[in-house]
Order: sequence, then structure tokens, then C-alpha cells
Amino acid sequence: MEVRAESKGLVEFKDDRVFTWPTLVAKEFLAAIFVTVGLLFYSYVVDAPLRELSNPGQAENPAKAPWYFLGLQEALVYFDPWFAGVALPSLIIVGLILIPYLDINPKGNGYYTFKERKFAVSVFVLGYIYWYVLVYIGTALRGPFWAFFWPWEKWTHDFPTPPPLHDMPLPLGIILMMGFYFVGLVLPAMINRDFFNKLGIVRYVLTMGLLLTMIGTVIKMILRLSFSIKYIIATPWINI
Amino acid sequence: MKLIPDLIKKITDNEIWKSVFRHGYTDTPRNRVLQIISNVWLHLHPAKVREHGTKIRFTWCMGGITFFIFLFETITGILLMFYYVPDVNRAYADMVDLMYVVPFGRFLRNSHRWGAHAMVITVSIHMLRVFLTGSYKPPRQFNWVIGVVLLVLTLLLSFTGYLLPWDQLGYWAITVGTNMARATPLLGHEGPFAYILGMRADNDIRFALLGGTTIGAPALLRAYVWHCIAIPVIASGLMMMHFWRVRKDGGISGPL
Amino acid sequence: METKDKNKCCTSEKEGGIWFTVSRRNFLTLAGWVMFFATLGAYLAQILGYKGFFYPKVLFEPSPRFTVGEPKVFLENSVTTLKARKIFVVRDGNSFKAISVVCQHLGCAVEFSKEKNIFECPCHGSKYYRNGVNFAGPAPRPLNHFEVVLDDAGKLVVDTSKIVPLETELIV
Repeated sequence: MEVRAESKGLVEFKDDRVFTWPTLVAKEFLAAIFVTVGLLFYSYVVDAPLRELSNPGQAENPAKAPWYFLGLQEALVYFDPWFAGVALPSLIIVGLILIPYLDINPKGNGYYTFKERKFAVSVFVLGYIYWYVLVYIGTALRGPFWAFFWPWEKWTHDFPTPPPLHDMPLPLGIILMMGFYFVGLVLPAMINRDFFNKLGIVRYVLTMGLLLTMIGTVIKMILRLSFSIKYIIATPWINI
Repeated sequence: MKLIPDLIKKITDNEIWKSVFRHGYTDTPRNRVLQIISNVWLHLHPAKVREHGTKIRFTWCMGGITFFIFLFETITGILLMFYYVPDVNRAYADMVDLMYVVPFGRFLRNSHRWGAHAMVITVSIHMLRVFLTGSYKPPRQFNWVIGVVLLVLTLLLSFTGYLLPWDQLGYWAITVGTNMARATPLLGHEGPFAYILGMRADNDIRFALLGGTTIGAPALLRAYVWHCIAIPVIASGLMMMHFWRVRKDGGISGPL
Repeated sequence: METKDKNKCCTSEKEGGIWFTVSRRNFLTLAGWVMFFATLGAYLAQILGYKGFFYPKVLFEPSPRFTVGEPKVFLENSVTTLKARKIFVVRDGNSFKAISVVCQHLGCAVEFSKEKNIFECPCHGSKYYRNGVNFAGPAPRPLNHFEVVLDDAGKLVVDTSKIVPLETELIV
């Protein structure tokens, strides 16, 4: 009994709670007012777009999805639709859902910190930036026929036809792909055993697999832009 | 004679007023609590919250603003429904009417559209904030999952709404968007391995989304029903869970 | 007596296999749950499942087979775009082809560029030669070619439900 009482005394229960009314409610009310004013002002000044009546025979040029999907549409330039349009968004959603179960670091719960969770924060923030960079490229830098234009260039229909693309030889592609995932999975575990041991094999493979896939999309884009590689793995059934 | 205090007393000191407002407004701790727990809308909140939950530099207020914009979209959306008919021959004309003929229509349409964009932005910033504060950590893992589903639903809400004006912008955006479904492995007729299940343009997953092989009348009606009823209902249900769990998990952040 | 019974029950449960023991009491519980999920599953399968509620059996869409006019209305060595029908009629000398305007990438309508003599897709920049074969951009395969025949009145008839090999052409 004595021991229990003592240890109870050691736990410092800090009650930092404040009254919701008016502290929080007043701020929420103010936020709601600011948002309303902002929205109404913007709606008053800028008209929502309405183009001509839809015409199935004549595509918009460039035809763009809503801006928040333009990251995916930009990825569509580099990947087949089954990957950029279906597999990649599914992986992103699954990856996001898995975050709380993969990140078992107990620190940084309820406050801003970079030092205590460098890996988690840098991966998430880089992914977040990557998504919005793609959105920006798709929104602002893609002109007619989805051709690339720098911000200072004028959109024209008059640009050189890009060179034809070619596939990597199949054996080389398979070796590269497997090598990439193999090295990407094994090397960090060898260098940082602690990281591997903490996560355990299942969490480690899931975390690194998702991270490597994210990095892999960047690599494919670089390969396409610098070597005109169409597919790394090209088979009659499936292309990546 | 003090006119205003007398008047206030007249208005508030009777049975009708007291049947509506159960407690006084004098600033006492008791009234502060009653203000929250006796109000059906405000009792979404607990009577007291952790201090960081009230700091804008901590919360960025993004979750609350997202919810607020959802309500804003609901109201403007309901108003727009009074004039809009989801029929391929009428939809575009109704949009033009809303822009040029209906009093206040242009303003409502604009704010509905821009509100939708704003909601996508705020929901994504909310996610960033929740990540940076580590608020998905135990015991809130599952609430993060609900949040991700709500993010997807927000995007789908906005996406289905995009087709409704039946203009070139929406038509081709939805063409591109739904043709991705055509490329789903196994389930879309142009996806890898689709031949195993014998997928054709008139029986694959895209067909189920559009109700036809092209974007036509059934697709417009489906987008309308998903946009106006089905997704908002599902999202509302999940939002209730989301907010409920915030309370049950001991506030927005930090260990229990 | 009670304790004895309890012990009996627990030992029998332990002996009853690794999955579960069907005692009289939990048989009904189990059967209830099975029925519940079976009904729910059947219901959802009808609504969301394959060939269920979301798959209409009758479509009100334009006929895939239509007349495009006499051969002579198409200029020699030209590509004519029939926007409403979503096809190009390509004439080279006396040979006729009907090529789909639908880009094989994500289904945008490709456009014919006279100067470059190629088809270009405005959405993601796929490019096809005049014969419909893709050569740049993300398109995975050539444009669809549809069957073209002459009817009794000497008019060209295109059937977009019949996809033919690339080499197929109608010589008039």
C-alpha cells in the first residue's frame, strides 16, 4: 500500500483544460466568419468557370482534370493508366491509412517536433511536397497537347514533336526493378540495424516498400526525361 | 427610467423565453459549462478542452474550418438544387440560367464552386497538421483512418460535382477520370489481365460507374445522386464518428 | 452441482476441436450471425455486385452502325473528322479506313494535325502516325480501326462495334 501511494504521488497530473466556452467557441466563431467573408468576397470577384456545352467529339486542349487530380494526371504521362490512375492512388490511400500502424515511435505525440521523429516527418513532408509539385506542373506548366512550357514561355500549338520512346530490354528491366527493391530493402536495414529491429520485419518491409515506390516514381520520371525510356518492364500483359 | 434594461428584463423574464433558454448568461463557471452542454450544437464539444486544442498556432483551425465549409456547401448546394435538373438536355441551360437569370444564382454557384476548392485545400492542410503534431499516435490510430477516408470522400464529392454543369471542362475531366477506371487491373476492360474475367466496355467497372459505355444521361444522373445524396450521407456518418472519437480519445492530440 | 456443471462445460469446450464447439446455446447464436451476414451479403451483392443494380441491361445509346456518305464526298488523300460519330475517315487514293478518335490512353478525342500529318491527343500528348500507330506519349497501343463496308446504295457504312486489324482497308 505504501509503495502504491508513493508512486501515485510521483505522477504529476497536470490539468491544462480550459473552458470551451468562450475560449474555443469564440475562436471557432471568428474563424467561421473569416472563412465566410473570404469565400463570399472571392465569389463576388471571381466567377466560377463555365465553358461551352460539352461536345464528345472535340476535346478541350489541354483537357485537365480538377486541379487536385492533376498530380495523378501528370503521373499519367510517365505511367500506364492502370498504374498512375488505379494502383498509385490506391497505394497512396493504403499508405496513408497504414501510417499510424507503421510509425510506432511513441515520441512526438501531441506537439510539433522534428528532432524526435526525423524519418517520419521528412518522408511525409517530402511526399506532400512531391504531390503538390506534380499538381503545380500539371496545372501551370502543361499547355496544349500536354506539352511542357516553362512559366515564362507562351503556350503555343507549335512545338517540336518529341522523339520516339523506347522500352528497356526485358531482362535488364527486371534486373533493375528487382535490384532497386532488393537494395532499397536490404541496405538501410544493414546500415541502421536499430531502425530495422525497432520496426520488425513486417512494418519495415511495408514502410520501405511504400517509400521505395514513391522514390521509384521519381526515378521513372527521370529515366523518361533523360533517356526517353517508355517502360522499364515491358511485357505483352503488363507494363511499368 | 432605464429603457433598455427594462426591455431586456421584459423579454427574458417570462415563461416563453425561459422555455427556450434554460440558463442565464452571467459569466459564471456554471453558465460556461451549461452553455456547452445544454446546447445541441455546441455539445459537440466537451465543457472543457485541453489548452492546446484552443491554440490556433497549434491546430491551425483547419479541421473546424473544413467542417464549416462542408456545412456551407450543404446549404449552397441545396439552394442550387432548386434550379438544376440533371438531364443532358437541360443541365447546361440551367447553369446558364443560374449565372444570368436567377437572382443571386451566380453568387451562390460561385461560392459553392470556390467552397469546394477551399475544402480540398483545408482538408489537406488539416491532414498535414495532424501528422506534424503526431496526433495519429495511440490512442487515435483509427481516427486517422477515418480521416483518410473522409479525405477521399471530399475528393470524390468535388469530382462528381465537376460533371454536373455539363460543360466542356467537366465533361473531359470526367472522361479522363473515369477512363482510369477502365484500366483497373482485372476489373476494367483495358486494364492488365482483364481478359481473364472477360471484361468488355459494356460490363466492366467503368460501366458500373457511368451506367453506360459513354458519358451520357445515366452518367450525369449518377454523378448527381452520388454528389447530392449518397456521398454527403456517407461523409456525414463518418464525420460523426470522427468527432465522436476525438472526444472519446481524450481531445485532439496528446497521450490519453 | 453448479460448479461441477461449469467444469464439465469448459472441459468439453476444450476438447471440441480448434475452431469452435457447437453447443446448443451458441448454435443458435452462430446460426443467427450466419443468416445475418448471408442476407446482408446477398443484398449487397445484388446492389454492388457484378451485373447487379448498377449494371443496366438496356442502353439508350447511338447505334454503333451508321452511314457516313458516298465515297466521293471524301477528298483523295485526306483525313475527315466526323465529330458527332467520333471517327476519322482516312482516304488514301481509293482506300478507305475508319479510325476512332478515342485516344487509347485515357479516351480523349485526338485531333489530326495537317502540317505534321499525325494524330495528337490534347490530354496527355500521345501521338499517332496517320495509320493510327502510336509513336510518342503514353498511349499503349494504336487507335482502333472500325469496319467499313459499302451498302447497296453505294454509301460507306461504319460499324464501330467491329474492330478490325490495322492493315484492313476498303478499296472502292
